[in-house]
Amino acid sequence: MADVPEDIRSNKRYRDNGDFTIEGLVNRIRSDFGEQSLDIVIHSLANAPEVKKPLLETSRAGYLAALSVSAYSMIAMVSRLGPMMRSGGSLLSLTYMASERVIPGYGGGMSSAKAALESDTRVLAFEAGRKYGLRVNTISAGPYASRAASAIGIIDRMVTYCSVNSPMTDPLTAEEVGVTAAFLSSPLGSGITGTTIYVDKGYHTMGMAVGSLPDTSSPL
Amino acid sequence: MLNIDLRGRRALVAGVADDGGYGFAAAKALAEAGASVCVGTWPPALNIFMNLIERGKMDESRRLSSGEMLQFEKI
Repeated sequence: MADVPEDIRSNKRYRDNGDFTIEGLVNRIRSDFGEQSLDIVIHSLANAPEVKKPLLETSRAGYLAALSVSAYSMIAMVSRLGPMMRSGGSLLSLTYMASERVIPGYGGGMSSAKAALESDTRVLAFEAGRKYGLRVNTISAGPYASRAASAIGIIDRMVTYCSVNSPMTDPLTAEEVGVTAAFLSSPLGSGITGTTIYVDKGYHTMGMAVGSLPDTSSPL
Repeated sequence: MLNIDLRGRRALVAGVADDGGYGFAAAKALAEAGASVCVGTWPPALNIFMNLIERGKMDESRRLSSGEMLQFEKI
């Protein structure tokens, strides 16, 4: 908690929750379930305060906040939770193709954070694999209109665009991502680590748009 | 038959605040495979999440194929 900025520590949305840090989480898991009590960890969180701003207009503080919350948090979780996990366990995060291809509107340094997350997945897979016998992967999921994604603002157009232009044109469901997560977390995925797995109806393979929306104006 | 079998395993899903996102879908799939699931949520969203559960707003989406409800071992 000592690392938590004062404005967060005293913010009423946080202060009644006890120790909400990753360290606090580790302590709670240890006291509730004991050492070596975890097999599977899923990191499904991200935030960029300036996500609606293009990268060119993103402040240093906004950029660093995006990297801290959305990418460093995975390093912190592997580092703190790794020792609590039984060998053969799996850690998984969620990423997005904006890390490697330009998705206008996915701003505020979120694209940078996802690039870091995917690179870190490889390095963490090596380090946690050797140190704890754990696997680390990331799922690159196609767009889906969750509450958090709606904060980006252009999610509905992205969902339609991907559906029209993907090899598989039926809409991506959250369940398809969920079952991939379950598979990768299970012993069936024991040969897979350090990888970015696309669950996006094949959209990432496309090099040319085949359908277009009536409104093709740039979101920027 | 080849099944995903996570019985006897404990999972932590960090980043679940409602039943609409990939975090929830992952938590549910892990539970379907037999894992016990703990979830972590963003402190500012915790109350909303607890309300959704307590008021039964998530009952439909928490229903597993076995007919049982997705129970979170710890929130």
